[in-house]
Amino acid sequence: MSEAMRTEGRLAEQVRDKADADTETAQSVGVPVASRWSARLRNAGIPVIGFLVILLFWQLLTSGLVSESTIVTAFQPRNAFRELIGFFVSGVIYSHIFASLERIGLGLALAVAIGVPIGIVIGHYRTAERASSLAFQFLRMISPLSWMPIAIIAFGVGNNPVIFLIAIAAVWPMIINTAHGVSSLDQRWIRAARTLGANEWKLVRMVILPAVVPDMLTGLRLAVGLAWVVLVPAEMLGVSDGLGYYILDTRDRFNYGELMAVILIIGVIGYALDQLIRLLRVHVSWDQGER
Amino acid sequence: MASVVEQEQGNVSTAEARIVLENAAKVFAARSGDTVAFQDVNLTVHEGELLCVLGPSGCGKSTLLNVIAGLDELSRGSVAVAGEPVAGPHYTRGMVFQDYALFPWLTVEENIRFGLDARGFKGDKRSIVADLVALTRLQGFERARPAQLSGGMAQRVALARALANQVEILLMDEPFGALDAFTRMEMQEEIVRIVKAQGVTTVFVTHDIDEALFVGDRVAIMSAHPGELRRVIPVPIAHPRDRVDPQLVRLREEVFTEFNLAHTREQYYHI
Repeated sequence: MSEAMRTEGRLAEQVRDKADADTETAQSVGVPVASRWSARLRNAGIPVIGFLVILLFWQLLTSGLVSESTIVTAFQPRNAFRELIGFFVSGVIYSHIFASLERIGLGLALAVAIGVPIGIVIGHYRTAERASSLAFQFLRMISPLSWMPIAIIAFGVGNNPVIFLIAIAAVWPMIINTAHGVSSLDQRWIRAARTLGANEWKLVRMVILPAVVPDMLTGLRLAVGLAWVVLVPAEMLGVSDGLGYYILDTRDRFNYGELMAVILIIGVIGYALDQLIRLLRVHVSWDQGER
Repeated sequence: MASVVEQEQGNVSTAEARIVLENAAKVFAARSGDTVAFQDVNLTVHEGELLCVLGPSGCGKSTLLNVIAGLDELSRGSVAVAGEPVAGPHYTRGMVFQDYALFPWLTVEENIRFGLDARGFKGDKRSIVADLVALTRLQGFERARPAQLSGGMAQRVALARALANQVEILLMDEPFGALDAFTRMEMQEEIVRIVKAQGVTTVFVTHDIDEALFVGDRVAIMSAHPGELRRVIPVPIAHPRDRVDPQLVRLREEVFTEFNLAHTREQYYHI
């Protein structure tokens, strides 16, 4: 494993540890019910307070104390929340949300389809790891958005370049985590499978793939985070729907309340996606997220 | 070939040879110099026999087992099973590992079925698995995951998984090393019962003298650094055995002497 890959591995472990801590506090056993509830309230309360502090700052910065310009005051939370409700009442936002989710879904699917096989090969064969490490460390550090002109030349204007950019952002954590999982695979499983009559293909399908599911889900969680961050700017070019497009649209209409409402929606969906993968990792993965 | 005759003195069986090792040696090459795992090993395991390989750590007994399994290659000499030289692992040679090596993402049943699935076995898998669950007394645990099992239970699963392939040879690498003393004794009785019921030729590697004598039809004694086969002691006591059988106790003394672990009173006082 190269140094950078190890760092990525450590990062993945931190994500795991975090997930463990989350599940542990939620499942503290042997504590009386009443104190468990108060602990749960405390657990939920502190993050909520943190969130309220941010809201307070938002309010203070836009209330006219810093600047009395109407451009600034238009960004006030009350406008944002009013427009947010308006979005769902009018239903205007749904098509944009679905467009964004569709792109992120396709982009991630592409990243998984490309990243997992490459990760398995790199994790499995030392030569492949050495051959690819320099190239991948180089490619990984290029902002996915730098590819945008090339993506548009290659795929034309529309959905495809956006999906490509998401895939290129999300493919690295998939590759690196899958490779990390395969290379740190318990060798006893391989030996056991070979004595049980598994050939190379069965070894991959029946041992390596299921064994690295936890690592792939860790990779997917990092991939979703990156993809969601890349999605918004990627949608600012060449498409006529999606949350990224809609941000520019609100700006062009000078509707800063709506702009802030879209930002809120982006944050909430991103948080929800992350939690979804975390739950998936706890419930689908054979190690119940305990590694 | 005098050494062959000498080592084979423990042979009480008239059954045909199943595993034959001739002048076998395994050397691990390293930058700091070669390490001899074992050398000059001549050993024959007979059909249906339960042979224990007994020795301290570093005598190469686990490597010897891996060589028979086909997971490791010999540096010198030859290993043959049923007259055929061993070339890689084969499903007819099942292996049971000390730390079970169960697949944690599969249930007990799925673990047992793994070999059948891996080699695309077309017969009645369900009845094979059900029979093995009964044989290894795993009823009620079919749907459990390895993480939910005790060490003894996990090793029963590993044994059933190896047997599911209708193995001709069962290789056990310190299978009860991770178990507590009482579970270990229980499992020793179980392994004899199961192996004898299946009539499968078994090589059982251990560093536990009492275990080797309780379980083995013969005990091959190895010494360490370099790993060499010292002698093969027959244990002519019918199964199931009594742990305090006087004959077993005598054999135990013999093995102790072989490892220089038996001290006379005078020797003791001189120290």
